[in-house]
Amino acid sequence: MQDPPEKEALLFAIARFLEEDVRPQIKDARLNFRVLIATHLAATVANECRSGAADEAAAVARMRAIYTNAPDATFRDLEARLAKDLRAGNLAGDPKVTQHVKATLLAKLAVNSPRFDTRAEIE
Amino acid sequence: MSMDVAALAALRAKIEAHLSRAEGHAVRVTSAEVLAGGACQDNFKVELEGGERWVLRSDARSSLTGSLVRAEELEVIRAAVAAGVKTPPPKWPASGLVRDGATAYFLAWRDGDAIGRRVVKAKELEGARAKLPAELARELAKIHGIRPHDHPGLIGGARAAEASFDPAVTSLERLRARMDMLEPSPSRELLHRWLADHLPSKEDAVLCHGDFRTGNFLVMPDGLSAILDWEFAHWGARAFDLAWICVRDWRFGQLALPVGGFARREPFLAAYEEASGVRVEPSRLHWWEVFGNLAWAVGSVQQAHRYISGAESDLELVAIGRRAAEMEFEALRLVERGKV
Repeated sequence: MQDPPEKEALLFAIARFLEEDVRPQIKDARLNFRVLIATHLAATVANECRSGAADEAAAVARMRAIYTNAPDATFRDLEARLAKDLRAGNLAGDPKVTQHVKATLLAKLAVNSPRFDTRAEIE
Repeated sequence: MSMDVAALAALRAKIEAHLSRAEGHAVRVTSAEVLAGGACQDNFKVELEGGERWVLRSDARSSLTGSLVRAEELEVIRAAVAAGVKTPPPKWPASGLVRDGATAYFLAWRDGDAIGRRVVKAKELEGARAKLPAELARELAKIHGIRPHDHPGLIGGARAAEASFDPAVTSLERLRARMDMLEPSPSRELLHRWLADHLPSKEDAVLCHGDFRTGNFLVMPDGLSAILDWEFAHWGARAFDLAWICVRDWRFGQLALPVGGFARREPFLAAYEEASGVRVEPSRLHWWEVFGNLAWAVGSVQQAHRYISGAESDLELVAIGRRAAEMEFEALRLVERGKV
């Protein structure tokens, strides 16, 4: 219901302001580093605004494919159930589980650490 | 932590009284300032009349699970100094100096760089980076030469000296306890399950530094200046320390140089073998590097909780929580790769 700009655009504007206008002025190294962190956090929330809902829906769909008897379970329910099963040694070696865990981590990285190198060989 | 001018002046007076009593003559403190960087302790730079410089370390209000309190840390450092480790010797222990109930002690100031990005990249440290693998390996060999049966009173040495003590099992149990304090996580459980299913065979415990990585040692242009930050010291597996310095996050962007972001593995491990007489199998190093990445993922979430709980107010802590996915991805990558 708000007029433009969208919340993502506002957050990216904060990130850009901190990076381009504020950080170059901060001589104190510790504080300068924290302004950089603030920049990242604003961009992180903007990324999450864009893809968070779709990421969660995809994760729920993947987990419901593992637990076919839980059509109404929420993301948190399914995460807790999967964590409990893995801890108990159930589902070990199920390729759907490994695939889900990896896809979830990749979605998190795309939001929090978009420049993280996800290649299988890094050294 | 932050402290206002009046509080710092009061601290200066207390330090003067403490040092004067300990030395038996008047000691003048010319400056005391807050030092950044300590996650589990409050650090100050203290300068005495005549120019002598010291670091004062005191227990912080909140700390990380598994970290030592200053009184224990002091004993660990004394053992390390006695073993010839390049680390500043502690002096003038005190109780209640900075805060009621908090133990504190002083360390002689050492010059050098500990900032990760600078250690792996600064032009003037290029020569140092060539020497570091061998220097660090020799220091680790000295630390690992400290054995629990010689130190039964040191941070649970008596238990670690028992034949039944298994470093990997113990470390995994401690990690389990830390995971149980956090939200349920399928990725962390999957990794913990893999570790439990692939335990290395039992070995004798040695003293582990516990946080032996770029950022926790001081580097000068001519090489290693000092090993610091003993708060995670524990009786454990030598491969814990050897793998921890290779954990991806401590490479500070230099991914192709796994040892701390400045060296390949082979020269570091060869120097360690030469100094210690022990060759650690690659499968152990792989297991402990997976462990290290999972442990740092858990640590990252714990750091965020220190902010969320209201105990701490540093922006860096709350931001680290969202980085857990990086360490978990790296641990999973290593599991799938089957070797380091």
